Amino acid sequence: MNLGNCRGLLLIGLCGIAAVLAVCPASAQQGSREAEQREAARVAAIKAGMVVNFLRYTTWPSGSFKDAEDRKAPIVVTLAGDTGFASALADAVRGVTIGGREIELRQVSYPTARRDETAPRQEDIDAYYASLRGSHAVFFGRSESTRVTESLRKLEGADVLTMSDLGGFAEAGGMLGMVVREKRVAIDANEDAVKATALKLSSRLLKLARIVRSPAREEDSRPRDDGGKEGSR
Amino acid sequence: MKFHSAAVLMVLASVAAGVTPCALGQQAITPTREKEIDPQRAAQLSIEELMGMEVTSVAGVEQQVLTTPAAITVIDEDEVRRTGHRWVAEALRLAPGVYVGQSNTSSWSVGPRGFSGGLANKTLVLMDGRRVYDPIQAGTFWDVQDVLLEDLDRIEVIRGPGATLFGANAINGVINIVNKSTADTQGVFLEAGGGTFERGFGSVRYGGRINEKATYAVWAKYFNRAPLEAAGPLDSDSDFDLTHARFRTDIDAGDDLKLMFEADAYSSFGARAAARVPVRAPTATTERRIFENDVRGGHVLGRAERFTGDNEGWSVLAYYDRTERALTGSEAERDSAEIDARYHFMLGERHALATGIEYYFTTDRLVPGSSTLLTPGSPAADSMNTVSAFVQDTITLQEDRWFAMLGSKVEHNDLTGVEVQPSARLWWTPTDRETVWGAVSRAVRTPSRFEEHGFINFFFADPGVLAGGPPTGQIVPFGLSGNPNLDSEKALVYELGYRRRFSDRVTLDVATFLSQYDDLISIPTPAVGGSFNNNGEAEVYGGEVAVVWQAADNWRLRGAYSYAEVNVSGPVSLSDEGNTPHNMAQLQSFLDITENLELNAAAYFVDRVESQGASSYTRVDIGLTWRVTPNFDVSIWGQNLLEPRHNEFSSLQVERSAYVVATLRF
Repeated sequence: MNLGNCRGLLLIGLCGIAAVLAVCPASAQQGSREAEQREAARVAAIKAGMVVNFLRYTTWPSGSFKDAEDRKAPIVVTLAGDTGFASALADAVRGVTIGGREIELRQVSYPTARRDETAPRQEDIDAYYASLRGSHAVFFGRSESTRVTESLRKLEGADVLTMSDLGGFAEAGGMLGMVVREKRVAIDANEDAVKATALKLSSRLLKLARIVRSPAREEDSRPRDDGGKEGSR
Repeated sequence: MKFHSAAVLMVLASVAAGVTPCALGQQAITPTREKEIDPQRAAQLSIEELMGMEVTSVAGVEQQVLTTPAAITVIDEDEVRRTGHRWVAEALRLAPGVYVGQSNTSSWSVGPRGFSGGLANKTLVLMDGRRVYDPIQAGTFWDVQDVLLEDLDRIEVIRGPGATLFGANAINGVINIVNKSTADTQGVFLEAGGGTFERGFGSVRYGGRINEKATYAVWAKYFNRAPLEAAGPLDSDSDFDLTHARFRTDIDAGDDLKLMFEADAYSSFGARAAARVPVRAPTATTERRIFENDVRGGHVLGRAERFTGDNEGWSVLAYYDRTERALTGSEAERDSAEIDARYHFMLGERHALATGIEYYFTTDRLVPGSSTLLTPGSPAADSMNTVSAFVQDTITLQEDRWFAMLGSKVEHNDLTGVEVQPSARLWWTPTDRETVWGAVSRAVRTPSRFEEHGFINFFFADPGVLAGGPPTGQIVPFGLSGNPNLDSEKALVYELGYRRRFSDRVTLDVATFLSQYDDLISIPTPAVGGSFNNNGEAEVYGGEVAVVWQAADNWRLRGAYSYAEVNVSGPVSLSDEGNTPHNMAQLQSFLDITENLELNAAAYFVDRVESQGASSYTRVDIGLTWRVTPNFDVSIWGQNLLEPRHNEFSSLQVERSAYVVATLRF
């Protein structure tokens, strides 16, 4: 073994040992939590970006927006419950305009019982659903998992884009669901739910999505509606 | 010639497939390599780009490796790409303790923990579950273990016996090459490049979606490599080229049922090599002849699996593989088929059972050359059946803290009858960031067809003339003959390891081993006139240390050191002792200078290989990758930069080289 190669070996060895010693004292506790947080932030950013794209590729029927003379009405997106990426979405929509419209975020949660009462009042519940119906789009967070089917039924026929990242959302009748599949964020789209309203989703979005049928409905399969056609309600 | 035509057809098919997506109107997701993403940036990206971003936490895979009670290294596709290796055999250098030595432009000696000479008969190599270990020669031909690097998911390297799960011939280790599902290889991929050693190469892949449940991909590639440098007038190497194509489809049938099917064909012909071979003459003479070494083959493989929980589910794998190889005048054709079924289930709360049965069938036809023959009376065609079953119980002794694994594989094969390979492992996870593990295993290697029926011919001669008397008129081969009564080689392996994740940024992995081999199939001394026997014994011990350090958000370092000592005893040739270098070390640096510019560097140190007269060498590779647009990048790599040339596993020399590659994805 000539000296040159001995040096090569020693150098690699010393570099390696020095590296380990340099970082050993670093706190071990933080370790895995940091990685998880970074990963969660990444997923939140990607989902927020997708929501903005969903809004871009949706056409609301005329009359959905009450435009003033000088200003176009914003697209109202209501976050129902704890979504886990509200702040990421707030960052994502800042300064974004779609067709000249800004995006307005609202946060609502299912009403809780008032003090001294055992269950939330019907009027509070009605007000909650009214606020959902009054939006252009609703994103259901994970806290709503037990109420999603009920909420979707209450929104049937309303021209409100329904989105979520809850499992089985599209199958339950939600229009656009985001699911992590094969290490990527994929889209499930329930076309029947969309066709029951006057909303139109761009074919570009639908082509990328996995089309889902609601099991509860007895729909016969219809040919896919291609974007620009004026479909019947 | 038929496989060559098949390969050409597949190339044409893939080109045709590349044109049809426009007609079908399928939108392809743009795979992107962007790592960091913030919400504002995300809002500017298109849906296709967002859908192309990977989100699984690497920590998930890392956590699995952390608690595995075996010396395992997972080389992911990014590490292969960022170390500039274009061939699977070379990428294995990234696993600590694995010796990789190139002997000519198309063959390598690869193996962990000793006995890596020649084809390295004690390491099992699998590609997506398909055995690529050749039972005729007992080893792996690395020239055709070729993948489309873009679609490679990872290479799992287990040093030490993988015998319980993987069966015989995995004494020293298992190398499992895993490719991505076609759901992850969508869109068009084009790559072209060339250089001083890797003369020219090109690949094209198209991945599309059949419907919402099924995806497919088809690729074709070609490369041409220059010969290694001859050190003397008697050496020669020839260039090597390979045409390779594959079709694969993956179906997510719903309810966790996943199906996969693939068909593959490859062909290489016209590689010429010179070899000194015996001449049929009264006195021992040899002559140098030029041979055409062709190899071609292909396979079809299908898999179905349904895993519903942590340890619940089943899988079935079946394949048929064919190889035709002409090497130095001899020819071998081999057909093999296997069906492998596994079933995992929980027994109570504390027992995770994995069971499996497997049937492997291989048949061959050998046409001997002049230096490799068959012993008189041996069949020119032979077949072998192997049936095996395994059971493995992973027991939770104390929740989250102590675990044990007991298992055994029982196998019956036509050559040696019944073989039992038990293994016991124990591991302790004092915290969720460290594991201490130990194992004892018994493993076995069955004799190869060549060791049983082959004959290495050193020279022809007239026995009368050789004895110094009058010629008998008969010319007979003299050499080393096979032995049809060989027993399997056996090994008893003790291992101890420690793994720790110090923080999100540093992981340490240490493994040590002691292997005791018995009934080693060896060559007697002197070799002429003798036959392979089981008289060898050996003891191999050593260890590996590996560290991964995320030094900064844009800079990752990876290093390892390994040591192995081989001591062979018995009235046998000691060549195995000199086949393994004592020390090996490596260091890699992956630096993102900017979001679109990468500087990658790697250094490898390999100790001398006495049996080949190769002195130790230090190899340095440096590469620069420029992401011109998110879809198009260009890289330039310099390899073996430190020395102009060096020997690895033969008298031929590996030279300093460079290459350029450009890739396009859309």
